Amino acid sequence: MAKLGSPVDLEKFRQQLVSQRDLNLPCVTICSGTGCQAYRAASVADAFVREIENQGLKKKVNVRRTGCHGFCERGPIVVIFPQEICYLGVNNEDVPEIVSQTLGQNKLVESSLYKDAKTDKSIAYESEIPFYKNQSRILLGNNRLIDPQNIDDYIALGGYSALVKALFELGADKVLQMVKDANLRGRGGGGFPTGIKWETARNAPGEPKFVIVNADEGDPGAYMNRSLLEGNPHSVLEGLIIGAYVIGSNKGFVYVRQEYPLAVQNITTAIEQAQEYGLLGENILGSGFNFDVKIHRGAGAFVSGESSALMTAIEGRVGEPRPKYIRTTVSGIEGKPSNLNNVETWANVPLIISKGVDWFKSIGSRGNTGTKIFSLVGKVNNTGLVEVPLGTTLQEIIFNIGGGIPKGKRFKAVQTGGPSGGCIPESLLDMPVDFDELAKVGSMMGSGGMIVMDEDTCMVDIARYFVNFLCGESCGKCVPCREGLRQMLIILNNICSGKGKEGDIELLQEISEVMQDASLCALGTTAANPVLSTIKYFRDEYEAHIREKRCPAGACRDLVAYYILPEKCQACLICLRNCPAGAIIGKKDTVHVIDQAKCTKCGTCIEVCPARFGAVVKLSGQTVPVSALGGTKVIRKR
Amino acid sequence: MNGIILTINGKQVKGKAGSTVLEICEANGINVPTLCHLKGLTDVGACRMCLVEIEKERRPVPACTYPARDGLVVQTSTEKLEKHRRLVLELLFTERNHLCAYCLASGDCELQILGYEYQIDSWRYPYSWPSFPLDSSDKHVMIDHNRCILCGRCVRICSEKVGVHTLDFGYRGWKDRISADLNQPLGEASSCIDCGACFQACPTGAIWAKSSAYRGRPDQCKKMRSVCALCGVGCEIDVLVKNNALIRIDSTELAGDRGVLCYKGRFDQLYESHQGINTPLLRDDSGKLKACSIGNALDEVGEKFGNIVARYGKNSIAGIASSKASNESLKAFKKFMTDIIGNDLIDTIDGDEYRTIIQGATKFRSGAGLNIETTLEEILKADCLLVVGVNPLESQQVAGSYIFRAASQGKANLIVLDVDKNPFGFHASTWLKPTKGKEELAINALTKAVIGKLSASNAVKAKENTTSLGAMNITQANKEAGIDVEDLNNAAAMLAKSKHSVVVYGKDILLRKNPKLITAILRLASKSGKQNPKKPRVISLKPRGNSRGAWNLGLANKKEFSLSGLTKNGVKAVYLLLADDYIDDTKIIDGLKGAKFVVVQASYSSPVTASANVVLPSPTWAERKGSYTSLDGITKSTPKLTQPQNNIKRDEDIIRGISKRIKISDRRS
Repeated sequence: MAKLGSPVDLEKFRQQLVSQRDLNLPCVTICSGTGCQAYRAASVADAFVREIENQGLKKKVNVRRTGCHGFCERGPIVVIFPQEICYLGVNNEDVPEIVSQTLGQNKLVESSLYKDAKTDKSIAYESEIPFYKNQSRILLGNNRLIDPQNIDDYIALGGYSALVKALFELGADKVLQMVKDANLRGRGGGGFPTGIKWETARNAPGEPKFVIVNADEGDPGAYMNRSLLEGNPHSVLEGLIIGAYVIGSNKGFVYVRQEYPLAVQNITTAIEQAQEYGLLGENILGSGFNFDVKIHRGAGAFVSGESSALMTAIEGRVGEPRPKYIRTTVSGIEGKPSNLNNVETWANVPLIISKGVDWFKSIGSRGNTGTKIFSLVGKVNNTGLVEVPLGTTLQEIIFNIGGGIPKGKRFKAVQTGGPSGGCIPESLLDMPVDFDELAKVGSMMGSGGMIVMDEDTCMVDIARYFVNFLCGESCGKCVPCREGLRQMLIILNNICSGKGKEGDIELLQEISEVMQDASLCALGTTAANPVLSTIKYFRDEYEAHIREKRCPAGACRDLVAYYILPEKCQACLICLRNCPAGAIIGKKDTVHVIDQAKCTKCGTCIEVCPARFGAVVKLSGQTVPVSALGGTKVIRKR
Repeated sequence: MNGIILTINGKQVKGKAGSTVLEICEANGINVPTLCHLKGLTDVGACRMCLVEIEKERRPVPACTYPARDGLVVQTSTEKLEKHRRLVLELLFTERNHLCAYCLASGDCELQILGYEYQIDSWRYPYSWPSFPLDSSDKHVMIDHNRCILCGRCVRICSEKVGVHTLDFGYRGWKDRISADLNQPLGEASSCIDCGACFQACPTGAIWAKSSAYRGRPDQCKKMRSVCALCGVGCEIDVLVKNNALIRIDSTELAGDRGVLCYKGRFDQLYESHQGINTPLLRDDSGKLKACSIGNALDEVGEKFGNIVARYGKNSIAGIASSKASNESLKAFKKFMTDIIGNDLIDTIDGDEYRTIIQGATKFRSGAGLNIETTLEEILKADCLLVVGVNPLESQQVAGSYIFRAASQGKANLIVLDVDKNPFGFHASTWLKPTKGKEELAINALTKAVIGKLSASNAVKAKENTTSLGAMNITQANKEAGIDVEDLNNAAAMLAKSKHSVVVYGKDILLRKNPKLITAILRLASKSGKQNPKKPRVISLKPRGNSRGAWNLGLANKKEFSLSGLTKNGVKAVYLLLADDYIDDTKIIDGLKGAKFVVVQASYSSPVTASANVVLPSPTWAERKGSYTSLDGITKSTPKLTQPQNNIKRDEDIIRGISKRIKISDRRS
């Protein structure tokens, strides 16, 4: 492939691509994001290729392995274009039928369609499935249309036309103005206005300048950057080139986690292809602008997602943050102006350029324009990636898109913003989700993690979980974060194991205050959020743990006991046989008793006890009744 | 012009632009507590003790890293800040085993001082009782991780000032730990040069020196400003003395430009490495050295010297001094030889090196003396460094640190030109390895290559002065001296484009006794980038602590001086002033064999004192007030740090004693 030397070359090439593609030809797309790959999507894709060939449809059908579709709960996902018939949970055995029925005879295969839980009706088309219907997928939408390993797919869809517009039509000043006008805010969590950041880097003295993609997404349960970088790497790259052009940078970095092998592979391929096409390198499209990108793989430190730590890591040193009273946009990598934006922020840029400021501002709410991708996980029916306009309510996201809580349980809280975010209670479900509102209630946007919790979740335990995570990820440089987290963890461990004492809550609040005020980087200043927000909204749970030694959710092992109600036990021997610790004493016709000294509180007994008996109960905060020695005789139910 | 005005605690305070808030507070006597800050090192804002409140800042900020601006309104001590500081201290005290009663740093600990200041008498958190290992593998320094507060001062001094990057942080979070090299015990960390800077930088008892441990707290010691006389770098030191013993040697300004010390200066002087001489010794009739009174010894020397001069003339006594002696001793010694004995048969032990340098310099530019050399500070400013024939880490370790420091900040290229046995070459970006004996060819080839890389106009000028290099070519250097052509060109390019190149040479070059080598080095330096052609930036690492002082005083003979040659040609007696030098050089011992009468004035027993007829005691460096001149010509003095044993007299007094006695016998002739 010869390099594209001008915008005309690119446009010609695009037309040539489009003319070669018959859009009416059926196309089977198989989601090959990491989630679906875990469900053996690669094997399903192979099965489709094989089966299509076997049934003699090879010339009549296209097959494409695409990036993540987002509905990860139900993978592997297969969408058949042009009708956009969506099959969920497809496995190898389903493939022959889908090929013969849908591709061969244009009929639906009922068993693989989405079934609405409320109406019990099947839904055939992707756009009608509630999970998708209620989203605005301006960033993720193209994932399902593109083979991320093939730049031609991106170009055929109009890719790199925003770059052409920026380089040849608008010029740097106007592009900057557009990004500022659109009020694009940093999607990495801070919500800092991207345009202002660019302007600072642009005006900062010093050469060379650097632009960086932050793809060091380390929040537990969050994977939106990963899916973008895996599924549509060129959109990120195009944004980066435009940003570099505005800022006046000739060198960019993609800082991506080593733990994201597919993302590393796809962005590497994307950069190579862009270089081959002349979209990266010297004199891009004949504009005279030079820019190249290098991939820097992160070595697995959560704190390296912090801008100064990330830049220190790129310099080749230990990724520890440093004080930023001179911003990294002025003094970053090697003391040079360095502009860092999140994957999602960069991916928004081409959209603003090609579709315009007004279009972008029409999405979202005032001051919070555009969409945000959330990874909706936890106790929710439709786990997956959700892209909604900023300002959408939690209710909408969790119940309309997420399908509510499984097994009819009650919603308790949602944790947003990754480990340093806060827990938001049921009473705030109507809250619009945007940068400012989340901060007001003691949480944050973070990179967009959203973990839903139901009534079985203990909020003290949740706080402890996140503090434990952060304790392991604190770099150890500044005292409040390093030691504050550890002391908080010790106190929370005590509370969860029934050793909590009066004054612990106040001590937690005091440490939190110092951490918020005195820590060096954002990891430390926000690390107390999970503790503070749970104390704020669920103080009664803390008090129950400390005063009554009771875990209201029954989640803290040290505070619960399992007990067999003598009047209900039918001596069926099931729990006795299943107990892994051999802690259940009993025999035929004799009421079973749990030996509390031996019980490991695994909960197997409560799970296996037949529902019609319901003899095993979980107790917390009360003494376990003493059972008669030698056992009592069973009172048989009729 | 660049003054700024801030309001600190309600008062208007002046400061310099570009400084931090902490620096301005310090300059104005406003106390802000710190732990991780050490003046001269890059501040990192890790301990959070120096937090201050600044108007319009959302959160308190660390004063050490906050750039001061005109008009800032700063509060250094508010209720909130003091509460935060107290909690930070509380967290630090519960973090590891800070139990002062068992700690050797008690009384000399910054954490302890702050603990008292903030009245930390109990803590509300569970004590951690960590059990980190104790690293005692190093010869001089011990690391007790249990007392570490992770301030990182040792890490920064090691990389920023010593330049060896041995220490860094290992692990993460509260498991964070100082680790050496690839997490090896310090004693096995090959990059460590044992300089002990980490020990002095440590604010607590986490890093300590075996030599000083439990021997006395600073407030129990007398602290005296002195100068180290071991290698000629001339490091200023603070010596702590207790009970007439050296307890500890500290750098006066650790993170300053000349602040780093080496293991010899910091630790070795605290140990007696050789058998000392506390009393004069006289060889008796049976041929054995026996102790005697100073009067007897001086009588013997006076009489024998008098007799020899009377019998063989004044050119029958030669004097040799060690350049480790103080300027005062050397001056007296020279005066004795020239005025009392009346000859110029005088030299220093390192006279050969002196003659090589001087002859080489004169050939480069007539009339040039030792003053042609530049100062050690120039190394720190260098953008290109060429090290020829020396391993500074062995001879002048602190100079090695300067070189690392200049090179490690990525601003200076380091070129080493020496045989492949010199381990210093591993630190170089380009290492030219000439075959032994072909150094001159290699240097000249490099000079030629540098001229070739200069811009056209400069090259014409350069060529005018180097016509002697005409026939030289690089291929020849490659063939005969074994220099890699690519390396040579790389090195030449670096030197040619440099703006501040410095050449350092030393031991191996000086041992060649070939002045042409020195001329070649000076010529190369004068062509390397921007240079004063008459005084190119070159510095020689001289063999002994006071070499420059001795040479400046004219102790080294300008003419060829060979002890064995002299004794063959009529010299009957030799007077050696060794001071606290320890000499086991067979050349000197063999040279002495030809003399009838040998007087050695020394602090330590050595093979040389064993061959003497009379041994006179000499106070050591610590026992004597005196001045020393560094290798780049700076003279500093030291007080008497300890009382000499047996009240040994000063060198000058002993020499005067001989003078007095010699006069009487001299009149006879």
